[in-house]
Amino acid sequence: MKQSVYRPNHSWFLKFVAALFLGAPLTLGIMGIAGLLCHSEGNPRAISSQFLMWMISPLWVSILSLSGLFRSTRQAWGILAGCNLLVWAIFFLARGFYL
Amino acid sequence: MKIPSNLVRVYRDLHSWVGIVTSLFLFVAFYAGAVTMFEQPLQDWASQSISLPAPVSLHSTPELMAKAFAAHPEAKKNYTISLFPNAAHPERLSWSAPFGHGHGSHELTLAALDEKGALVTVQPHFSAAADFIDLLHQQVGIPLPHETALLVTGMVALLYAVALSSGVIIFLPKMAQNLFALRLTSSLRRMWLDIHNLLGIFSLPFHLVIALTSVVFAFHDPVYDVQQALLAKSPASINLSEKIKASSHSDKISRPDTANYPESSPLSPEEIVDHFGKQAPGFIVDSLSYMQNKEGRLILRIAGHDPRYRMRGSTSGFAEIDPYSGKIISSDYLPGHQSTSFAILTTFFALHFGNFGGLLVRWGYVLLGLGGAFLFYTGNQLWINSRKRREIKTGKILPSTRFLECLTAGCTNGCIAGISAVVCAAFLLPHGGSYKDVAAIYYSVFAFFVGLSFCLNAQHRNSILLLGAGLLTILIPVMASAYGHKSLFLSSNLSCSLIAWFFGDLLLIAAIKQKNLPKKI
Repeated sequence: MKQSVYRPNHSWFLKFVAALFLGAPLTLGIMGIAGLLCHSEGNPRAISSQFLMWMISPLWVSILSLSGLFRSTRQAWGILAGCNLLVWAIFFLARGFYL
Repeated sequence: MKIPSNLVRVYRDLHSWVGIVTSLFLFVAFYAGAVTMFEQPLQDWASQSISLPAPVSLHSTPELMAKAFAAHPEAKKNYTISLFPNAAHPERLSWSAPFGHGHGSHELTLAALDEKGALVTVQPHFSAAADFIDLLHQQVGIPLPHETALLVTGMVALLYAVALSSGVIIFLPKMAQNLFALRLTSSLRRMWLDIHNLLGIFSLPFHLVIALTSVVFAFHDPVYDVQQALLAKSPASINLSEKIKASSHSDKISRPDTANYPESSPLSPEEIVDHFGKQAPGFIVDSLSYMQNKEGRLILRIAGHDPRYRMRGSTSGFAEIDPYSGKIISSDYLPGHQSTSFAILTTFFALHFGNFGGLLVRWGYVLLGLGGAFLFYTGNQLWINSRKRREIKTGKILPSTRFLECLTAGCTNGCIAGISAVVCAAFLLPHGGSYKDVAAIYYSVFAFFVGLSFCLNAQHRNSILLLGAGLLTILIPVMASAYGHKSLFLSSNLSCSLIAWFFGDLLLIAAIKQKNLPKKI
């Protein structure tokens, strides 16, 4: 098995934490954009908001699961923060346009 | 399949970490969840019989309603008519009125007519045991206020989903060799590894469904709040729960009806069921729930089931009816009459509740739930034994490994024993046990087992704890026959007893067979 040199490397943990904390706003931002596209008004009884809510779990879980693929911790935080900025910028621009 | 080995190592570390953090919570959630599949029979079994005159026929229910509303005007605001009164729920009419000064607590009243036609009312006390086990499942065993606990549940569910994906990534490269491997005798670590892989890979679809739905169930309210903040056109001035109650549908559709029937009185329950049967043949109506809205008009929700379709609630589908005309107002949650998109949504819920396909699927879910709980147990055992193996080579077993060994044995057996103790106690306690009593019993048994686990030596720990949990579980049918409020020979009670007996025996066998486990780590 892993009798060879076992070098515990904890960078995966920091990548995972990045995905946990930055993945949440990223997911919500994507949900927001999708909500604007389908003209949802956030009424919990409407079918659109229910589907938007169900988007959350596969999206966030995918971000978390893929966090191991980042090359470095810095890359993980950087890319996820960048995506957040982009997504939220698009959201607020689009909302200004729609509403 | 080729996956770079350093990536596999990263995901192996990730898998162990999320596994260790969540496994014991998940064990409680899955074990309690498996028990929850039979929540209703369990509650009926543990509650005292209610003595009430035989229910009036559906045809003469209006007479009962008139008498009840005359004596208890508050009943008009929120009442339910039951279509199939039975031994456990003998009432035709029941209502719940706000209870004293409590916040949101309601007291249920059941009503019937005696032989002379006089009104008889009873305030039943149901055992809180089944309710408690359901909450234990939802809150992954954490005794915190519901909303706070749900956030923990949500995080646990997220990590659990990650454990599943990372587990698959680790397993893929060696899947061809290890798919059906089950080496039970070579070493402890290998045994747990093979059981863990086998259980995990073959119940993966079930686990994916449960993980993804649980995340949604747990983060449901906060996510809607965010949606409201992001997407609502006007700032939300009313709070969420009011918005749900004020139902968009009744606003949209029932207004014209209001104009058509300005002074009308609602149809009788019999007429409603008749009308409804024509509009939705095949759907079996279980109950009619009436609520008065702010303008004093009635809103009617029908609950029932249809074995042919998946359902939105854990045991029922719903429809909103205009009580004045009998027309369906909303069939969003009515099985077989949903739009495609609502049917898809309903599927998500049904897949979590296992309420499709009748008893067979229900039993399947019980087995998958118990299998899931065992999967988490094997995961912990694997972690412990791998570490021990590594540490034995360096000559010293670390306290952290020992700690987790004790905690795993204590929590898993404590959870099983606690739930069994709760069911046993329900037969002794007045009214089948209030929520507080039941919770106190569960957590003291749980704490006792965890404490005991840390006191026992490694050689006897598992056998003794398993023995304790097994004996408490076997005690359930004994207590039921000695102190049960209902005949043991009702089919549902008999099957509850048999299940407890069988599962208790399994635990005892496991306790005895502990010494047959491979000696080598």
